[in-house]
Amino acid sequence: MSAKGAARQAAPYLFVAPALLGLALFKFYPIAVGLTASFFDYEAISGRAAWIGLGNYRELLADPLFWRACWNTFLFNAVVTPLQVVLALGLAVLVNRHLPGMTVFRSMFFVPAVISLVVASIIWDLIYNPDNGLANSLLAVVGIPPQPFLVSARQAMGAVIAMVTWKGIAYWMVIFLAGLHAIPGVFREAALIDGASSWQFFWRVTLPLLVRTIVFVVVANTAINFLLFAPMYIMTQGGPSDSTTVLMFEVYRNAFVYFRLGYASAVSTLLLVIMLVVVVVQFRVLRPRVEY
Amino acid sequence: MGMTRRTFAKTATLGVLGAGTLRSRPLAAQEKITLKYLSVARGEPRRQAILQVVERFEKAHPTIKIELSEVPFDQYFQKVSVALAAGSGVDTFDVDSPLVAPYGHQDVLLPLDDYVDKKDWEDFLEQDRQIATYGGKILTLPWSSSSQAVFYNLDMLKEAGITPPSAPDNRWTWAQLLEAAKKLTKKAPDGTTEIYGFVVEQVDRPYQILPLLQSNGAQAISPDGSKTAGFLNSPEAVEALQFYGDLYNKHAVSPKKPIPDAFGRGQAALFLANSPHVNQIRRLFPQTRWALTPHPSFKKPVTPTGAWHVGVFKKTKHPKEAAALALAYSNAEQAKDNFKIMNYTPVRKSTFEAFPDEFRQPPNSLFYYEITKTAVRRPSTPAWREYEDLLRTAIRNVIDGGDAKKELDTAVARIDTVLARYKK
Repeated sequence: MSAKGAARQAAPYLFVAPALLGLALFKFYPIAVGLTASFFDYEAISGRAAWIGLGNYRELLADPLFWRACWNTFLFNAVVTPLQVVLALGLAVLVNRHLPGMTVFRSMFFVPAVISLVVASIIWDLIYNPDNGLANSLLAVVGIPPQPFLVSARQAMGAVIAMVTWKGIAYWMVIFLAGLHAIPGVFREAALIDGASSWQFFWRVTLPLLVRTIVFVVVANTAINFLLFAPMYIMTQGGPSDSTTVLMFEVYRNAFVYFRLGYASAVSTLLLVIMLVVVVVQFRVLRPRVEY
Repeated sequence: MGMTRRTFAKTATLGVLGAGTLRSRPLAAQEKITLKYLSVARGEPRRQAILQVVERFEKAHPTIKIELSEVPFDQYFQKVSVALAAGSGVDTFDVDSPLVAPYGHQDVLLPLDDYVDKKDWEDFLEQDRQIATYGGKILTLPWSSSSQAVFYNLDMLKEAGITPPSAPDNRWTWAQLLEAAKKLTKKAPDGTTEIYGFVVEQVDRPYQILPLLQSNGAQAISPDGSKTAGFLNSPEAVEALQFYGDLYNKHAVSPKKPIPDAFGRGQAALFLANSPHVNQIRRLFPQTRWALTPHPSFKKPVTPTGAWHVGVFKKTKHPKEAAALALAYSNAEQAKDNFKIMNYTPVRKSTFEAFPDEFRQPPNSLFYYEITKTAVRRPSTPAWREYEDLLRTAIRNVIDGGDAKKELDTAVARIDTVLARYKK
């Protein structure tokens, strides 16, 4: 009897064990290795390593480029994440209507999500070409003079943000669609009987009931955007004049151009801490207030 | 269920068959050793030379198989570094000449003194021997050098009534080149540029751009190699880099985003590029009629040089064989073939002697002149990797419209931080 009870108690742990093992092996272990490496002056090619304690952190906190990268990362996320969430939600509500041909639109809007980020970055790099890119041709049609886009320190970040937003909303739209489908139809019926307009229904009923989905999208999207690196690597190399150097690009540059693994680990550790803080705040602020 | 069982049976059969194949493989195959050769891929003529070396080497050494990996130039340094850091995946590899010092500092190259014949070593030109030596040891074998000149489109310049100088003693100043480039730039009715007056091969690489700064009187680094402040951001350096940036912005005679093969395709009239382009343009764009005018200068002529060496990874399991491959690629006979195929500037006296006529007449007479009279190699510093990346970023930013003084000041501050770290 007690053996059976013990087995019963152990069962859930056994079920989650494979997942935990995977997490430990592929997430926690690398984080621990990275954290350890951040205390070393670790020169990857020769393999020489020397313990320097907080030396890497002291150096990077004194480096104006680190602060510039922090600011760029903040700016990028402060714009991209809300923009993607709002647009994805809007798109989801739009394609959630039962009108003829809606599935075609849904599929069309989803296309960016299935394009590889690298391919998308290369295509947008061509679109943004100041000399013969599509973007300037379109602007010319409406009489706007050619813009430099990625080769201008003022416009590069905006241009990257536009591309990333375009690429991201398709995926989040589908998640929101699933969330919208999960809201029981009785709420709509009840609201309509009470005489609510569709605008009121959206604000007072749909949105509060969608909070769980919103939390997921906001948190997952934040994590993805904080770690985004490919568009900057392909389109701008962090430039012009550091204007698109985000923290993740600094990690890459130090690890794989200068081969300073210790310093790169220190940057990525700080990035992890910043992300943790942001995500905790998001969870607090967006705590669901309605249950159904 | 039935499906699963059938799939299982099939997998099992395949497994047995597989094991059978393995067992029946002749034992001799196991004695064969494989050398991993990491090579930079820079398109056609060069590929031929490398394939020729590999084929000849395998024929001469039947027990050695060469696994050739060709990596595009832009990803090459990273790929090599990752392989070196991993400690495997490479035995012999191409080394860009300014990286001999950093690799030497990191102690990842096998000294080749024991494998090189002393008399044969003397056949290499003095400056290439210097580049290949670090800490008193021969670390790499040079197989090519490089030199640059301006390729010009004969038809376009004739139409514009421009006759560029052909002799190095009356070479164009940069101001004269700019005047010509302005005349040669053609706009389409919609405002876009149809033909650019002037394009350069490696738009933002210090290899290409440092000589402009040096030609104007600046120095790349302090004589003792400890700092760049006051050298790389001197007023002369700033002036030269600003001039270069103006080509892209103020005068718009050069494209901000490089156009592939612009010169060969007739989208550019003047093209500053290195000697292998002679063979490349002949091969890929035979219809383009061109000639050479010397590398322009500011105050004194300075031209780029240095190119590729071949080295052996210190941790290789087959040092003897890996060194033999490096030697096979750079030996006197192969050097002649390499020159014929690629038209890289030779690094051996015997190559120059084998083709005396080649170096007495254009186009190669000009490259020969530059390499012996005006070439300045990139600084030899263990911090070259960072130096190059930071200076390249500055050049890139100036092309994009940034201020040369501000960009060079930023680069110098960052490079000096790195240099201080290496001094420790």
